Amino acid sequence: MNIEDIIKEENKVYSKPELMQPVHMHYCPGCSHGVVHKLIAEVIAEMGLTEKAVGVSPVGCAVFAYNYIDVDWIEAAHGRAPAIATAASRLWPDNVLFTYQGDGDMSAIGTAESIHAANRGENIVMVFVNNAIYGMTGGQMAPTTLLGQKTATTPYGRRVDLNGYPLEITELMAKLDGTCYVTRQSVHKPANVRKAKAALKKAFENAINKRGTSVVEFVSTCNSGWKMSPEKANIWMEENMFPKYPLGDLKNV
Amino acid sequence: MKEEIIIAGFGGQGVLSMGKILAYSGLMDDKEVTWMPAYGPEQRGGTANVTVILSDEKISSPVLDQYDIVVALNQQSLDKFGPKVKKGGTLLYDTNGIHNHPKRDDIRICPVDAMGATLEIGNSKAYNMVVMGALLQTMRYKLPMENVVKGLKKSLPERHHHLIPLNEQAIRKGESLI
Amino acid sequence: MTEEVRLMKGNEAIAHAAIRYGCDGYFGYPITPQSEVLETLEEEMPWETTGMTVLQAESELAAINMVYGGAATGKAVMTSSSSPGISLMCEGISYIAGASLPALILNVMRGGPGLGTIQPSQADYFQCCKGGGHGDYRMIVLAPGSVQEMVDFVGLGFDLAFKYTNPVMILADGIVGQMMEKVVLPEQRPRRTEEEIRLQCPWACNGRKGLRKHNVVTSLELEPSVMEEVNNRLQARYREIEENEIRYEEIGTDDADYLIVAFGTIARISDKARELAAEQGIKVGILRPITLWPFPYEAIEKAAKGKKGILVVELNAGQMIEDVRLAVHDSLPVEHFGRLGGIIPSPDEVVRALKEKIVNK
Repeated sequence: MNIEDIIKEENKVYSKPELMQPVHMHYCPGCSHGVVHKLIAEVIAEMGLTEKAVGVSPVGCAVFAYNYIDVDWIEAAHGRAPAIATAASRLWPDNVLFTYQGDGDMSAIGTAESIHAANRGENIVMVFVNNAIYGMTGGQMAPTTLLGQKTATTPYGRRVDLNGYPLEITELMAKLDGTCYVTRQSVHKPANVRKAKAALKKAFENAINKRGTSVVEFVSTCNSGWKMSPEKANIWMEENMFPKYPLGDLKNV
Repeated sequence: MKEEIIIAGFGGQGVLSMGKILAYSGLMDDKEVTWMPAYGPEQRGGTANVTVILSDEKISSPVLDQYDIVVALNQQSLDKFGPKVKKGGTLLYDTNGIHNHPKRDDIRICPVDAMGATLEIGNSKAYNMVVMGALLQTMRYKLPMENVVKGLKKSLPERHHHLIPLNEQAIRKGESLI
Repeated sequence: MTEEVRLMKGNEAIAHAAIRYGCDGYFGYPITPQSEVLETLEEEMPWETTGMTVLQAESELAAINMVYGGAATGKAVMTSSSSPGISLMCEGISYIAGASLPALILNVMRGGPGLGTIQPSQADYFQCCKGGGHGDYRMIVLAPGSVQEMVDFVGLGFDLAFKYTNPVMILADGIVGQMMEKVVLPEQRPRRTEEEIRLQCPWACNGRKGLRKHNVVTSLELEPSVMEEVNNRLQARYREIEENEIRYEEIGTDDADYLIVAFGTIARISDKARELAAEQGIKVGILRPITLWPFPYEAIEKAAKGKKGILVVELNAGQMIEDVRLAVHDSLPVEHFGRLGGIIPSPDEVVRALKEKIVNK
């Protein structure tokens, strides 16, 4: 097979999603954000939502999400994405609003906005990337940091007596009457990526059909923050994160 | 012309709503109006008062030191606002429960037995409208009853509109006290 | 709905004015003394008539960010609060200014600091006119002196917000929120259609209709030279606002010996004081800044010419007086009179203060 054969349309096995901007990403090699971005871009395009989708980007590593996915984006103050999406969704009911939130955004500074938007059953998709650490600010503790996990602000490991327990925010969200679909996914293996994409699709369908709030958590790695190789980070996630944050649907009504 | 009035009494005597009906009646008569409830520390201690200004021109301060008419419905209000009637103004008060009567000779003093008149009507809720009737009699602006009734309609919720005839009766009773 | 004469509280009037202006959305959190705004809106149910969205948020933080979100889509949105709530909103206001979004914010001021008092105050002058939130931003600040102006400034506020894509605040004292006056409510304007919004706000994030280039609303820029450019653009806009939008009212300043500068209801109390002072042979004029930012420096400088002194009357410990002093460059005595606990000074008190601090000094 020479190069001419390889680039023939019938031999194509993969192409860049049409909504991914042709720019370099700033994410670290091994980071889960890139895959999650790609899935969102694919789902929006495949569902024909390019003209209706509006994203709300967070403060955190994904602050520049608006540079990567080619839809309208509103950049939020830290934690306030669900409030912004609430108004944008209510004022343009034909549009589909999604938030992109990290663990600080969703489970620390923006807990109130996240819980209340979900509790009101806003017809939005909340994408929650949980890597148990604050990546952008240099690896400090997140509410979802595991007990014993070392971070810049828990240098000897997270201790209950000092720092309290890891917050199961997604379990909390599942308890709210306003949520219709709450699921926990990962993108560290091809099979997981496929499942995650189906979950995102369902979440966007729920928003279109005005069924309430969908929360899609991605249990993710932060190999830079965790100070591990990407491969080791994936293994560490399976061994340590999944027992605390098990994958699968928490709620699907 | 302008008429600056304060109505003062206990909370629950209908002071604020009486002021509101008066202001609405003025509005129906094409006057400029301002209704300013006690919105200061004097609100405490169970007293209530409201300043109502009716004017042909734009109204300046909603807060006043002196009034053309003071309507006092308890001793405390009489003591506080009696001295604040402008020279030549009117002090209207309900004699019920009053032991220290005003003694100024530079103003017109109108003591009325509004509570007694209300009991004659047989509905204690009409008390503030009896006072309203007496007040309307003492005002320089002569607000016609049809505009007062319009004011009542505007300021009362629909569900209380069946009470308008009773209120009208109470106003007439009050007018007869002066 | 046609034009209508009504008697209502300033807070109620704001709600009616918002509906009639064709406001798209109100997001707020209850706080005394302005909760009647949300209450009136909920009672009026404008979503059934004009299609306006009304939502009680979970906090002032959420409310102002809902405003940010709604404004980012090109809609005419507003919120209202009182001093402690405005403190919470200052973060969001800074983002709204930084992202160049149009929004209307009503502050019915109460006394502080801290929880303070629910009684009226004008102690948020610094906060609202000089910043409040972080960064080099400015907000157009309108100070209503009557219930009618509460109504009028909703329309004016939205118009200015969209003209300059900048937040506008109506800075009212608790008096004008709580008192009832005769008001003329304007005729009902239709809300803009989605097409009109797309045309008026090509920058808005309301979906890539027709697969147009994607829009991003953000206040973030990490490249220093670009960030400086963004700030320079903001500053140029602020100069333009200062050039075009200064508003004030003068009463009897021409043949007066003294000047009172006051805003909001306090200017009306001072106007009555002007009448009382005239009876005692003291000629006073009133200058009432209507826009507190941009501030009428030149008008005050002009009005102060030939005067013997200025009394600045405020319901605070002396905030606007700093701007009045800047305006007149120490060319005449400028003194302050204010009450701080929620006590509203009477016209007599203002006359006494004028005599004591200026006339007999």
